[in-house]
Amino acid sequence: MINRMFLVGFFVCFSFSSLLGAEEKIGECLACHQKDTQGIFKAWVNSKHYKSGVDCITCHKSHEEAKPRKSTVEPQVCAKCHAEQFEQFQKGRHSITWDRMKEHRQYQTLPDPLKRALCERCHNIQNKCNACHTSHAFNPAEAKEPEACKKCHTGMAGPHDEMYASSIHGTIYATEKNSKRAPTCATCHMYKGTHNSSFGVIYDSLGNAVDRDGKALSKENREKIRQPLVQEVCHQCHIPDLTLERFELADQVKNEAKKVLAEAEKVIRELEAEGILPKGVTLGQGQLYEGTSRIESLYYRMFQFHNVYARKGAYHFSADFAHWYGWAHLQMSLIEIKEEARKLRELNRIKK
Amino acid sequence: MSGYRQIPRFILFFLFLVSSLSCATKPTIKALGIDPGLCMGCHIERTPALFQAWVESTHAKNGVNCVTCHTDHEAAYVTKAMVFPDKCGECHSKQLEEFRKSRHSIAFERMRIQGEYLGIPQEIRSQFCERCHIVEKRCNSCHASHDFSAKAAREPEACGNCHLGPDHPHKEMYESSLHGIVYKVTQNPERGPTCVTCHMPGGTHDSSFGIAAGPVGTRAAVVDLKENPISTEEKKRRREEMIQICTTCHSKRFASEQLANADQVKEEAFILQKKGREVILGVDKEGLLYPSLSERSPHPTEGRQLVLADPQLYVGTSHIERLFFTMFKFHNIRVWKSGYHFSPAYIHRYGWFEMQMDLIDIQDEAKKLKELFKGTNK
Repeated sequence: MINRMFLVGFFVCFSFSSLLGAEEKIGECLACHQKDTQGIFKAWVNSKHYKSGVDCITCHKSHEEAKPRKSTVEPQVCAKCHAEQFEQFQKGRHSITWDRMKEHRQYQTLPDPLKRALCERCHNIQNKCNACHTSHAFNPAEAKEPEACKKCHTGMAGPHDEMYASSIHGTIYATEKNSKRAPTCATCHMYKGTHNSSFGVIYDSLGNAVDRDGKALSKENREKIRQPLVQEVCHQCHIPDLTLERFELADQVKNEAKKVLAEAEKVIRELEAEGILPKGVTLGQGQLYEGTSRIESLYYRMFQFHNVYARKGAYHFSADFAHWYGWAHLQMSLIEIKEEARKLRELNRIKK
Repeated sequence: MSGYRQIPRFILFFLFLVSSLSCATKPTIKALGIDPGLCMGCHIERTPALFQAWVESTHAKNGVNCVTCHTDHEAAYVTKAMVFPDKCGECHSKQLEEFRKSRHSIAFERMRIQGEYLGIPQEIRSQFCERCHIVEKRCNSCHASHDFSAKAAREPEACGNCHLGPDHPHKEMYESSLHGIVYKVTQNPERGPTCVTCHMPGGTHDSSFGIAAGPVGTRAAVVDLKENPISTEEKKRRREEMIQICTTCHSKRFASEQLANADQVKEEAFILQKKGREVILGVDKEGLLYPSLSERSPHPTEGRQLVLADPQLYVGTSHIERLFFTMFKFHNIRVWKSGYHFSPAYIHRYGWFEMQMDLIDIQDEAKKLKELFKGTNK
């Protein structure tokens, strides 16, 4: 009992003295921020940064500098200590998300307040390491959990989290909570802790086989990218031959989905040729979800949602997404597009 | 595998030592003394996580090793390392026998004669339907390789691997029911039931235990494994079985009332579905389906007749039929199955409400078809 009291006393004194030590070092920040933002202050006190002597001014420089930039700390600042991670990060698509968003027509059409509340919340990952390593704990263990990726990789446009959760990988991880038994997102996409999250990934978000800078990938390069994923990651549990076969099957799903899209596009292009739709409507890449005809909006759903579920569902081994949310909905949308085209023709005939 | 047993033990032991010393971070061979033969020479390197899962499994502790199930390398290679339930049944005969009584044991066979399955390009079927329907041939659908944990298989997420999504969101229904919520906050299956509490009580592997409705949800009739409708007495017996489980927490009266109420919900859902069906039959009678039955590819199992509800296809039909597909396949199933899983959100918002909206769409589509195309021959 006495021993225990001694230990508790020791820890209280120790933590108090180390708090005082920190207070001296970072001067004026703590005077207010221990009270005003005590949640993040406590997170920092319990962080590895705190233990290694990384304090407010190490990253935020000074109060005057922090204030106008709303305390944002850019990856370049983190890179002063975490150079290797920064270099890896620069190779992945996370490092171009903000630039690509800015160029995107859909982004440009949105009212400013919506831009901030919608797209920017996720696409700011290019400029924020704390998109994944949340402030002020910056804990790698938290960032490795699938839920950390879910913050952005969820929902209509990219339900990666849902696909993973409904795959056997996600199922085993959910039931056994052991990333050695079944992969998490980071196991495959950030193998051995690489911050190049495009590791092993051949396609961009639209399904084009291009590199980070949009340059088309040759067949050899595609194989070169897939090899380490199959040989090093999947082989933890699976034999390379069988894994490759799985990926090739997913490639086939991707191609079959493309065929359904092509059939839908043909229906719409025919309407264009007949003068029922204006010439040169944008379909697929660069298409907007506003201000178009209904038949185009049906195609938008096919391209942006169902096609993504079929393709990405297959690569994440979620039958539910590949089939029901993806393939089945692609087919049902095709039926609807054909019917819409027929009605447009008939209305056009009556009008004449 | 004929040769490995002839290899002297000390060589195998040497192999063990070399492989473990050469890779300090690789799986530790806790199972030293168990003899998985030559397999380990490569697989400790080639599939280390799978190997480690086995090392930590009850199988390893009981001396069940690679060759016990996979027979030998040649045999394993041909079957892509698949091990069929009959093999598992050599030790787990009670479980196999129970499993054979369940609908899980006919999942693959039934899938292969299903119109929807046959309507999917052959190359990609294995990525869709087969991934779940394979449960007929794979105990490791639920007991994931290679630790085959019984505990993990009892978690709702294990069932949720297949029982989720548009066509049968059992996982979502359960999670939004009081049962699922109590389990989530307590993680105690004695406080809130998990899937197996009701569907596999006492660890039975007959997952069709106590089910007096269904099976596939798109048909009103209750059938046995040979697709024969079950008798009223059998239905009553199954219901009684299930109520026995409910009485762990609920009074018999309460449980019976709740399940009877679910029966009523089911009946109402099928009445609503019938309204949609009748509208389409009317459209068909006037020859307004496009493409017409003669213009489209015949149904893989039903030929050139109009198929409404199971086994209706989602490919190549008219738009009004496609609207009905959504109504019976996605929305009706939510109403009636959620009735039995006690999820008001799924019965009402995702089910009944959506069915009503589908009916409006179907009626409106019928009106447009009549106004635009009646007598036009298009």
